[in-house]
Amino acid sequence: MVKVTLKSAEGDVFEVDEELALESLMVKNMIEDVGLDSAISLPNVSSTILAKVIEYIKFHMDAQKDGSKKTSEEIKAFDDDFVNVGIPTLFEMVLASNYLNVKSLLSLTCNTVANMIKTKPPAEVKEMFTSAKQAKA
Amino acid sequence: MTLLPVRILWQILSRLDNRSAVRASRVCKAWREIVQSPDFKSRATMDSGVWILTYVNDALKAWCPLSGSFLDDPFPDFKDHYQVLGTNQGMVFLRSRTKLYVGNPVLMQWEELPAIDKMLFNTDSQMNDGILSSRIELCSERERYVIIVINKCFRDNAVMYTPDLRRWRTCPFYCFQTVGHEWRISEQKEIRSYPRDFYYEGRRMLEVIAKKEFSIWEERDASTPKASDLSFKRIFYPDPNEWKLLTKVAVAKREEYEKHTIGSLRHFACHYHNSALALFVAMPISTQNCPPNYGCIVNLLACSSYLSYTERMSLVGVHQVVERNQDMGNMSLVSYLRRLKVYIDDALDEPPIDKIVIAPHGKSAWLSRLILA
Repeated sequence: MVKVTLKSAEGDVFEVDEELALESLMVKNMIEDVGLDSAISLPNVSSTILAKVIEYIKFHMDAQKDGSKKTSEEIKAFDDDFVNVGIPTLFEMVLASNYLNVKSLLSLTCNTVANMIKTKPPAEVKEMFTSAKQAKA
Repeated sequence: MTLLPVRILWQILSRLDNRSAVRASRVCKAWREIVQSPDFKSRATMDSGVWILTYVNDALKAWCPLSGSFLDDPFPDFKDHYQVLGTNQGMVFLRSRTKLYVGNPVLMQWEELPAIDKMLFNTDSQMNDGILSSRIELCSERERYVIIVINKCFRDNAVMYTPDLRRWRTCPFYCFQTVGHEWRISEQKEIRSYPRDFYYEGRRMLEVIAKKEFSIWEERDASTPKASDLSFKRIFYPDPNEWKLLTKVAVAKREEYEKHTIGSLRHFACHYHNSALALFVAMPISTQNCPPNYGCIVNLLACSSYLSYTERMSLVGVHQVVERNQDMGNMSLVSYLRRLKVYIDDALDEPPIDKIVIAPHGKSAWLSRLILA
């Protein structure tokens, strides 16, 4: 199995299967451009978030494989749990999935944010975004 | 609020239903720009574009025929009892027991209006009780409107409100009478004749209610419709050279007519307008045809007004009126909504509405049938 080396913003190195790395269209394009010899640098993604993204892709790849015993309830439970994080982390995941171009994760995280907005009055939404911004700063 | 790039915000906001999106547009300027952009409005996930104001167990509710759901607390204070005095493209003019409001239940934005001065209104009764009829006009620019209220006693003047002055003032008010085939301004300010003009499909229309008939005129040269220029101020004189008579409907039964007074008749007119709007919205459910502030409110005003103007005629009473008219082509709210269903191809539960409304469905079909009793 061919391995791909991904390098996070902090310089941490993640070695993943090529199959998994190709789920990110951004990484896929990079591999097509520069090949597999050097590590692929992802300066916009922190180690924590990159690890999360890899975890997400891995789970869904396994779930889709033949012989997978995961039920759709289990997958949903995983997704729910996956996005059950603080708002700053959630926003980072939105940005990372956008940057890495992982469509399913972008959809999941955007839906999560949309659901948060839906249930809150505008003032609270504003508060939510402002505090996330401060946390990031 | 630059935390997420616009492209991502767009993605997030476009996952919201319309009402949530409109609410979210109040978060900040950047969001508002997204939500109000034409691209956003034409996004595929259009839903809940039509809201119907109706009474359920005597409480005013806004109900969405598409989702079958009610708006949560759409009115300024949900405990109060409301009466709808006028609607226009999502704006609603309401009165509670003690206050007047104008606003939008979908956006949940309300503005309290000052009370109408009794001096202006020239009535001995309580201010609110003096209102016979009212309408709300939207000007071409957004967020400009005019409210006109006609005194129940029909003395002297109507009053109007504009948000720039933030007060009520009198406005001229004309009564018309038919003399032969022409309309003349009546010397007496007679309760049973007055005009109402509006645009329909880009053409200026004029509805005139006179003693025994209700007629609709169309301006002959309406190729360049003017913006609504506070048109109620103009004296309309439906000169046959300028105005083409589209239809004239006799009010068949004198006593029936007397019983309902101009109030209910006027709202028949309104009704016409509203039902035209309803079909307009219902056939191509797309945001492009929705007014700028989304939640296009198809107000079944005739129902509520009918009730209130005839001393709150009981449900049964209204129901019977409908049933009597059924053969004449009028439809109940239920069948009306069923018809909507045909167009929108969406699951539609039985509407949770216990009042039945005369809701004619289509211009030509009902115009010839608008006859009381």
